[in-house]
Amino acid sequence: MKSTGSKKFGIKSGRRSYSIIPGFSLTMGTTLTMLSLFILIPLASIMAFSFDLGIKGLIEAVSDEAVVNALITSVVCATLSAAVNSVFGLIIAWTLVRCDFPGKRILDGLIELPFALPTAVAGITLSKMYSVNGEFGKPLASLGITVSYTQLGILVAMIFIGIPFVVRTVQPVLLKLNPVYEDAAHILGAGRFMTFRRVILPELRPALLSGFGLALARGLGEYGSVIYISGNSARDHTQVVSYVIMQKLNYMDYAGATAIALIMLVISFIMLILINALSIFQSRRVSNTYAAAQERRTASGRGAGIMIGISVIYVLIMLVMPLISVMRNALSKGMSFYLASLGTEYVKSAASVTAMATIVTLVINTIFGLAAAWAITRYSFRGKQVLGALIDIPFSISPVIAGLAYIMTFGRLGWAWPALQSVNDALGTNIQIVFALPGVVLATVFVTFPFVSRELIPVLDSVGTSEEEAAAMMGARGGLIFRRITFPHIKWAMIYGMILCAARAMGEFGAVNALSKTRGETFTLPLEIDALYMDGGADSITAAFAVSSVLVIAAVAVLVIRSIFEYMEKRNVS
Amino acid sequence: MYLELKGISKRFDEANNGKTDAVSGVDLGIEKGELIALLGPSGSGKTTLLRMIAGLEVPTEGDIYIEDVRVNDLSPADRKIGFVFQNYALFRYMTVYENIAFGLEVRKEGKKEIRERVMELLKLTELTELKDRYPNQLSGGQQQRVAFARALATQPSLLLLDEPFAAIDAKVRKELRRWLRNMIREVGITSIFVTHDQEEAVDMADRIVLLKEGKLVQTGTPREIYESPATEFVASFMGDPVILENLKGFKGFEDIEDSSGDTQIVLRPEYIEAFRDDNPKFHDFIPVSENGIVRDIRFRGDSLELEIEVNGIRLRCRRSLERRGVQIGEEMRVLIYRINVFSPTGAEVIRNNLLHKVNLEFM
Repeated sequence: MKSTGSKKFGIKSGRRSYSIIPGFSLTMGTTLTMLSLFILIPLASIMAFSFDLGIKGLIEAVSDEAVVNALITSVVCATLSAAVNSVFGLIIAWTLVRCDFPGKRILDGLIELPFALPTAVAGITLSKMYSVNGEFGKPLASLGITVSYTQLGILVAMIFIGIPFVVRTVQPVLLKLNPVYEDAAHILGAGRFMTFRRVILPELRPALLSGFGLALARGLGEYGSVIYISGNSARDHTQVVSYVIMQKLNYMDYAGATAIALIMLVISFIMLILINALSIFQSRRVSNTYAAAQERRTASGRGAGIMIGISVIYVLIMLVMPLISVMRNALSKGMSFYLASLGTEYVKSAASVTAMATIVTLVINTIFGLAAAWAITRYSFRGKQVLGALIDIPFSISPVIAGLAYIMTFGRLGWAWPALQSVNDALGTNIQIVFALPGVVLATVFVTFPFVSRELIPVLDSVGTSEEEAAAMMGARGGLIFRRITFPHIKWAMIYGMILCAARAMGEFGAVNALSKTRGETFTLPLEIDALYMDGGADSITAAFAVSSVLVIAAVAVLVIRSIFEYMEKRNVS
Repeated sequence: MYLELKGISKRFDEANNGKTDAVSGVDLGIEKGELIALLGPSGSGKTTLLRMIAGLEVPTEGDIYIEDVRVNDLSPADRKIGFVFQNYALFRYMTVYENIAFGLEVRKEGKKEIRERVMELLKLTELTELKDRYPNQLSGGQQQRVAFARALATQPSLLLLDEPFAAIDAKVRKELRRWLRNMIREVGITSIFVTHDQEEAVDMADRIVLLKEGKLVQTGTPREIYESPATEFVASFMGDPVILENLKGFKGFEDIEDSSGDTQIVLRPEYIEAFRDDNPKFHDFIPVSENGIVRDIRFRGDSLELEIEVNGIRLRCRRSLERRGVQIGEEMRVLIYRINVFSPTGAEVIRNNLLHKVNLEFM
C-alpha cells in the first residue's frame, strides 16, 4: 500500500479550533480579500471622508430641513411597509405551508418576483398604475385617494419590494415546526386563535422579527422603485433618503452626500447587529423537535379558504398586476413599435454593457460565494458571526450608498485617485473607474455580493461536515473533497444563487446610476429605461416599457428556473 | 501495548470565554486484537477521546502512541485507522461500491486492486447485491455494513467506531451487535467503539473503559466492572440498583459502620432474593432474612420486578415468571446476598456474613 507520506499535523492556531477539513487558509484568505476589496474598503472611504468634515460639518449637513424630512419619510414609510408585509407575509407563509390548493407552486414562485425584477421597472410600472389614469389610480382617484406623488405612493413601492422578506424567513420555520405542539394545545382545550397566539407565534417570532428587520432595511435604502411614484418633492415631504443622496451627488455636493450616507450606514449596521443577535437567539430557543416531511399538516375548511383568498388577492394586486401592466404598456403602440424601440443604438449599447457587467459580477460573486460559504460552514473560528454580518452588508444598505462609496474611493476626491493617476501616467493609459465601465461593474458586484454565498451557506450547514471529515480521514485533498463530496450537494443551490445573482445584476439601478453618466456608453438597461421614461414623451414612455418587458420576461424566466431547481434539489435530497 | 494514551487532556474554548475540560488526564493501554468499549454518559468525553485517537481532534496535553510511535503529529490518513462515524457519514452522492472504493482511490491504488478489494469486502459484508445502490436506498443496518466495509477498505490496523448503533432501531440492534462483534473477530482487527449504553458495552466488548466527566473511572472486563465497581458511579451506571446511605439493622450486615452519610450502599436487584415462608427450598434462609411487604409489581417481559419494603426501605428484586404469583400487600421474606459499599476510604464488596451458617451447596 502506498503511503501519502506524513505531513506535519496538529499545529493549532490560537484563533480557530482544529479541523481536519483542508482549505481554511485558501477560502478564508479569498473571503477576506474579496470582502475588503469590494465592500469594506469602499465603505471605509465614506467613513474617512465624513470624518474629514468634522462633527460640526456633519451636523450641519444632516440638520438641513430637507434631509431631516427625507429621513423621517424614509423611516416612517419603511417601518409601515415592513409592518404591512409582516402581517401579509405571515398569512402567505402560513398558506404556503399549511394549505394545498391549485396554483400554489405559482404563488410560491411569484413571491421572489421583487428580487428578480429590476427596481426601475417596478418603479415606472407602479408609477403608471397608480397615476390618475392608471389601472389602480383611476378607481382610487374616484374615491378621493391619490397614491402617486404622495407618501402613500412611497409606501406602495416599499411594500412591493419588501414582500419576499417575511415570507421567506417565516416559511422554513413554519415548515419545520412540529405539529405535535398544536395537537398538545388542542388537547388541552385551546381554540384555534389561542393556539396560534400562544403556541405558533412564539416559535415564529424570531423569524418574523428578522424578516421585519430585513424588509425595513431594504425599504430604508430603496431607490429605484420609489423615485418614480414618489414625486420627490421637498415641500410635500415625498423625498426619500436615497433620493437626497443621489441629488447631492448630481450637484457634486459630496460632503452632504457622505454625511447622510454615514447616518444611513450607522442605522444599517445597528439593524444588522440586531438581526444577527435575533438569529442567535432563535437558534437557542427554537430548535427543539422538527417535523419530518411526511408529518406535514394541511389545513382545510373555511379558515384555510379565507387565508388562501387573502394570500392570492394580495399577490395578485401587488405582484401580478404590475407584470401585466408592463406588458400592456409595452405593446400599447403595436408590435412594430415594440420591436423598433428595442432596436435602437442606445438599447443595444445598454444591453451589451448590462451583459458584460452581469457576466463579470457572476464570476466574482460565485468565487466569493464558494469561498465564503466553505469558510463559514466548515470551520469554527472567532468572529464568525461578525463575518456573516459583514457579508450581508450589501443587503441592508442603499445601492446609492454603494455607488457613493466607489466615488469616494476612486473618484477625484477619493484616496485611490492619485494612485490610479500615477498608474495611468506610468503606463500611458487612461483607465477610469468612476463614470466608466469598471465602475458599473464594481457597483453591480457590490449590490449582488452575498447572493451566491447566501444560497450556499444553509445548504452546506444542513449537509454537515461528516462526509468531508470521512474523506479527509482517508487522506483526500481539498480539491478532491470539493469535487467528489461537496459539489454534488451544493450544485443546484449554486446554480440557483447564480441565476438570482444574474437577475439582480441585470436589474441594478441605484448604484449604477450614481456611477454612470454617459447614455450610449456606460448606461445599463435599467438606466436606459430611466432615460426613456424621464424623457416624458408618450412614445418614449412606451419605449421604456418595451425595454422593461425584456427584463420582466427575464425575471419570470428566473422564477420558473428557480422552481425547477428547487424541485430537482428536493428530489435529490432524501 | 498496541495503542497507548499518556496523560491525554482536551480543553475546549467556550463561547462565553470559559474553558471546559472535555477529557482530562486519561492514561490507557490497549493490546493488539482487543475489542474495547469506551462507555460513559453523554458529556463524559468518550467521543472526544475517540476523535483524538483518530486525529480528528488534537489533544491539549498528552501523547498518543500506536505501536510505540508517537502519532500526535500524524494526519488521520497516516495513522492506519479505519473510522466508522456516528450516522456513518456515507457519501450520499456515491454508490455503495464507490463509497468503499474511495479510500483506495485516494491512495491511488491500481484499478484492478481496487476492484478486487472492494468485491472482497462486499462479499464479506454481504452487500454484493446492493453495490450500485445509493446510501439513501439502504436500511440502517445496511448503511452500517457499508460504513464498516469502507473503514476496512484500506486495511487499517485499528478500527474506531463512534456510537455505531445510534442510528439503528432498537429491535434490530441486538442482532446487529452480534453481527458486528463476529465480523470484528473474523477480521481480527483491534477495535474501539464508543457507546452510552452499558448493555451494549457488556454484550460486545472484551474490555470496558468507563469515563465520567472527562476522567477515566475504571477499566476491566465487563464482569470485573459489574462485580467490583470502583465507585458508586460505576455501580449505579452498570445495571439498575437501589442506592442507600446505610443498611442499619439488616441481618448479616451488622458490621457496616454508620459513617455519617459519607457511605453509599449499592443494592443490585440480582443480589436480592424474595421468597415465601412456606417455600421449602428457602427454609434454611428464614433466620438470615428480613420480613418485607410487597409494595409494587412490574412486568418486565422476561421477569417480574418486585418492590418490597423492608424496615422502611424499598428494595427491588427480580422474580422468575415460572414461580408462584405474588400480590401487592403480601408479606415476603427478603434475603440480601451481597452489597457494594463505597466510603471515602474505598470500595468493597460485602457478603451476607450469616450465609456461611446455611448450607449453600445447592445454590
